[in-house]
Amino acid sequence: MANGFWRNARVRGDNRVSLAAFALLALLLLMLSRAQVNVFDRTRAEISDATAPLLTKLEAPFDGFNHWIGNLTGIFNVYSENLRLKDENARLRQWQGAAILLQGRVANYERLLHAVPRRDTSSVLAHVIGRSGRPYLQTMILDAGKAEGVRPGEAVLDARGLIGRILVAGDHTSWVLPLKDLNSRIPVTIAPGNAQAILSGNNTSNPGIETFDPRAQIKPGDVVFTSGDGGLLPPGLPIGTLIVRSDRYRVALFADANSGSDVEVLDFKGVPETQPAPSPADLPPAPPQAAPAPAAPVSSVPAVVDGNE
Amino acid sequence: MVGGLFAGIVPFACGVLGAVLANLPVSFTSGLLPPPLLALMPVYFWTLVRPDLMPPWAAFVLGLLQDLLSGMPPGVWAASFIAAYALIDRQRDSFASLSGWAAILGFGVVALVASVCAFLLVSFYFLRIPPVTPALGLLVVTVVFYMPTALLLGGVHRRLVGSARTQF
Repeated sequence: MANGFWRNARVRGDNRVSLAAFALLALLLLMLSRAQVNVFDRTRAEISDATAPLLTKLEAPFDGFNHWIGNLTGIFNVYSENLRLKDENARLRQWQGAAILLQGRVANYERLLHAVPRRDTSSVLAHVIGRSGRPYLQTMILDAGKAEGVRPGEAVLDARGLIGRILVAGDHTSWVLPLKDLNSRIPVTIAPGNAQAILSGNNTSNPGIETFDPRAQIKPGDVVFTSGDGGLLPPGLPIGTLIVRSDRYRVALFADANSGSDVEVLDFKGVPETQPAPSPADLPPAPPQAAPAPAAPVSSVPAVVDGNE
Repeated sequence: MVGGLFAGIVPFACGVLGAVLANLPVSFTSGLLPPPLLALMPVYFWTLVRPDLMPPWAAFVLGLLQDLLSGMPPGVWAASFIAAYALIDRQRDSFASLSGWAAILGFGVVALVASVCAFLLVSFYFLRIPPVTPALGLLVVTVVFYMPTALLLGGVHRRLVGSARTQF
């Protein structure tokens, strides 16, 4: 190998000063990016825009190879997979009937209550042209960017549920931050109890869940949706179901960021919260007033009369 | 032998190529295994055999390039590569005396230092400890890929770079 085979040069001079200087510079860059997180984002977006044609050509053979490998291992599970799918299909048909019934009932209630119609959310269809599974950042690259109407922070979904959010948007490409990534934290609602929580990515396939109220009544099997808090994401997007791992609640995601090649990017603009006008009842109580000064005693001495009268 | 200027940029160019290849968003394993730290391998190799062609600034820039292409906060891999460089620089004779599987182990130690440094900086940056298993997987994959890469770098060194002719 390299070391014992090649003649190694002896070092002349001392690198300690330059190494210390570069180490300090690296730490300063890290602090700067902590304060301003978009230091490299523009450059990354330009790089992915420039390499998008190459990535599109590269993606097809790699995707095909991975599908072939996946199908190869799936041959051994055909029978059990078929049974499982039949059972799932039967259950989903039951839910379909219930969902249609509930949809009609909700529409009647909204009409009766004169509910404010929900704003329509437009969407952009995009194709995944790259995926990377690194230890500290997992991301996907889409072939849609600002020119197609994609903006940072928008929700990315596939047919099953929420995959993640747009992290960086270039002109024609964008990076997606999956829900399971360490950097991902979104507000969620856990049905049926309507518990509010935060879904935190942990670089595993089952992100963690942290409820605001430690007494919240949640149990495995509860469904997790986006809550819409903060106006970042539309409310009601399906995310997954609660499971228990190592005595902690985690979420089994509906969507799989590692499979599927077509996704939908939602263009959601949350209604800005309007503060109600202050009312007198909102004002703090007036401080107790000081006791009035005692009135001056009435004098029996007549007032001094002007001598000119 | 090719001109001195071309020979001078080959190690750095190999590092740049390694960073680019390792950070292409494609995977044979559907993301199951992380891509190896290909940019660290030329840093290790030429810091030992030709430190004049792999100065500290080159290690810093390659680390910064790794940060840029991998989506990491700038400075994580830059600082980690500098830490690895400092270890090689301080223990040059020890690493130089290794051969065969011991040489792979030597690179493993350097990669471990870089990985631990990156892990600590990421923990500091995000204010929480990331899972250890993916970082360990990165270390293992990097060491495994060093074996064939070292042969390739050796061939590049022999044909394009060569040993230093000046008297040290």
